[in-house]
Amino acid sequence: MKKLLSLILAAMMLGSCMAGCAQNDSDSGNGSEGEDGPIKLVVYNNSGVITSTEASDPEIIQQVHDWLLEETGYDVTIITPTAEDDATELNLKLSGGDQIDLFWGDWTTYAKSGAIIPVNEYLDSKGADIVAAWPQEAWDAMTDTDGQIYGIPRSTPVSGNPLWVRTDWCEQFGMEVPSTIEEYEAYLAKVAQEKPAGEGTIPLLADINGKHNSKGLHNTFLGAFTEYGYTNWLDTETNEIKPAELQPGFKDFLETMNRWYEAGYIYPEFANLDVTTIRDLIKSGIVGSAAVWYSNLTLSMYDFQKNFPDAGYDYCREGLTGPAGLAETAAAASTTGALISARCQHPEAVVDLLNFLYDPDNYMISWYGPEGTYWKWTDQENHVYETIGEISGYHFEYCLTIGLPMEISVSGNNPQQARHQQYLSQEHTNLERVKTHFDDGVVYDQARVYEGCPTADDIDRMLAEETVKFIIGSRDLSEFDQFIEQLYDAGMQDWIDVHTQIYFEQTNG
Amino acid sequence: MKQRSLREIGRYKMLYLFLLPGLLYFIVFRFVPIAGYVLAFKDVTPFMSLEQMLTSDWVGFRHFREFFNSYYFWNVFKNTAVLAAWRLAIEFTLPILLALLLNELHSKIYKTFVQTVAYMPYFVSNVVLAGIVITLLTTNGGLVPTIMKALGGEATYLLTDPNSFRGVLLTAIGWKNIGWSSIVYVAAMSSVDPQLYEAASIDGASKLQMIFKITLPSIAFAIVIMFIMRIGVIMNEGWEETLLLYSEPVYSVSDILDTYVYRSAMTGSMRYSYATAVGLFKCILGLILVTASNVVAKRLGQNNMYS
Repeated sequence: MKKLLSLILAAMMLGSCMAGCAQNDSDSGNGSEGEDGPIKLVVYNNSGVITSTEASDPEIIQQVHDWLLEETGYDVTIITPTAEDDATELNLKLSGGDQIDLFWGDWTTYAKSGAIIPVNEYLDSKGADIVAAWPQEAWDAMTDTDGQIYGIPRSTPVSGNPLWVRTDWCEQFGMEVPSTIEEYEAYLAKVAQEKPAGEGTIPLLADINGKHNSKGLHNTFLGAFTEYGYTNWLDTETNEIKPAELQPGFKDFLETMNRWYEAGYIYPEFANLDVTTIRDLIKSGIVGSAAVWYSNLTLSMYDFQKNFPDAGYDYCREGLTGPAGLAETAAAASTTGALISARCQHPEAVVDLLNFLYDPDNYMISWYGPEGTYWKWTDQENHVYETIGEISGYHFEYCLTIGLPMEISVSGNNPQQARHQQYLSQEHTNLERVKTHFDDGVVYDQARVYEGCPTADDIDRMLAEETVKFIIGSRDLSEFDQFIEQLYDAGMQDWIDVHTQIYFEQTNG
Repeated sequence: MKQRSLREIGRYKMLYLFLLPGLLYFIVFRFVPIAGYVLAFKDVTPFMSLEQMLTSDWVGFRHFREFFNSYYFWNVFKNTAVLAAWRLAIEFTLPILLALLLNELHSKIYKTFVQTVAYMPYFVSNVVLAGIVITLLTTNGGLVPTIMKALGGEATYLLTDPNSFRGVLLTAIGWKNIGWSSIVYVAAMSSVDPQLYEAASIDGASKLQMIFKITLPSIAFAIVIMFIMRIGVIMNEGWEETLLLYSEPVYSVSDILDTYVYRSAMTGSMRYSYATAVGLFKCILGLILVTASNVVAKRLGQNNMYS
């Protein structure tokens, strides 16, 4: 009996081990199409549209899924990122062989590694509405030197990092919304001294690894101290393209940031912040000013003003200025977009699906859920909608056409997104208050960059790491020249050479 | 001889059957993946098919050369060695100390309570551990900065301070693992003959003398085996906690081989083959460490992994 029991136990252990292996195998398979069923598409929606950490109502998700299936014939499954670092999660999934047909990322990175395919032929056959929606500069940023388009754009050059200041606190201090660095520093000093929100008051909330590659401190302030702002620039003395950190004035920027940090103006955790924390802090009413990607503010405004009805945020509409002119640097026409995986078995279907959603009527359902649940048209012809109650059971999972063209193709009264919509439609594309990227439109092919500069990762790390250390004072600014020498020791000249070469090739200089 | 072996297997078939799942685990998850190190000598991406990977060109030791020539090679190597040494010191010595303290407790109920409380952190996932650390250290109402401020100090954010990061990391890892690691020693101590203590007590030995003359020599075999086993995994463990807690300002004191591999392969440039080469380098270091400690143990006349 004992022997039998042992035998059964051993067999069970062996069985579970084998089952584990078998499960692993089946998970990694690509089952994109049934024999006769609809085409199955899997989308990893890391486009940035999903901002809530709460789960949506499964019934509403199912309704949107079924609507898409009925209208397009595609069985679309959405994977929502579970980690703050969604790019890493995505890479793990892609390299693990998971079926992902569509995702968002930087095409120059994924094309280099063979993870994505060009979409020219699919756009020609199925993507007319998509092509029409985006301006040429956005397509240029998604196109390689051979004319291959590697994805659908996500953004155009926009002003994304204004300095948001508490208007009610300005009023309380008898100040205007600051328009210069000096005025702003006076505001910071006042906030730090008065502590209007108590001991936890944060004079300046900034980030350094923000959404859409934004670096709050750099994008918001660097232009005030340097000629070009936070962008590569052409050193006319040597005729070389150099990174922003080598500009005259960068040290002044660091000195100012360090002074603000030492004075307790900058939130000490700025190098370690994620989007959720940033938004929670803003909603809690303790933030005096914010140098973060704009949507962290605009999408938090509803909850913030629910908590503090008389409070508000605004920024200098003419643009904050400093000794070197406009302080804010625009976000460049991005090489980030909607990309189709090389493992996708139905790329034409993916483009067809997206093209279907590049219609305001369909866009609204993908964005806010089925009509009648959380929204309804008030003027369908002109695409004006109104919301019904608070949108809480659907978090935009099926919205796959995120980006300015579709976001401004409709207008409505959703109080939850009122400030966001206002910013998008009236302020986002105003480039007069910012410095634009010097090398906008130039695409630096990552494969070539690594070929010319094998230590490019080391340089990236050094720029990021040492900059923060100078700001928080763990490295003294007297070592700034030594830092520049270290950059060259790590291969900066190779970096400059390869970027200069690519720049002049593409600008015919 | 062959027949004898088969007879032996037949005689102990139940035991061999029990061995099979474990053996399969090691074959599938430990030995088969070794073949993947071939990628260190090619230039592939994780998005290639297996055929593309296998038929791609060989690049020799290019990735190894690039790593050794990397500006941060010595920094990463030093961080790995320093953190591993600290972890070895903490996770090897403190569990023995805790086990010695537990061994001196006479109340069985109290001893069980202390043991349970000490073991519990081990079952906290690394993500939760990181969450606890971040919550404790946040300058926005965290317990530690609040106490620092109340004591007249400055409420600095310890997680981005290169001077304090290692201390925070090692404290968190120690809190999580020390209790659990002490189990082996507590078990070994329970097998020490109580008559030895009684005899020593009659002879007038102090508590400390009993610990150094009876307890520690009696569990020396366990200490040596655990030391060698710890050396074997020291290069592998602790990287998740580091990854979850570190950030750019503290890379200079926290970036270890594993986090470097992770960043190289899974973020930014996704240099899969390069990361595999660095991973292989780390494995070779681990193998050298285990072999060396095993040889040293043998020379000292202690039990080793194969005796």
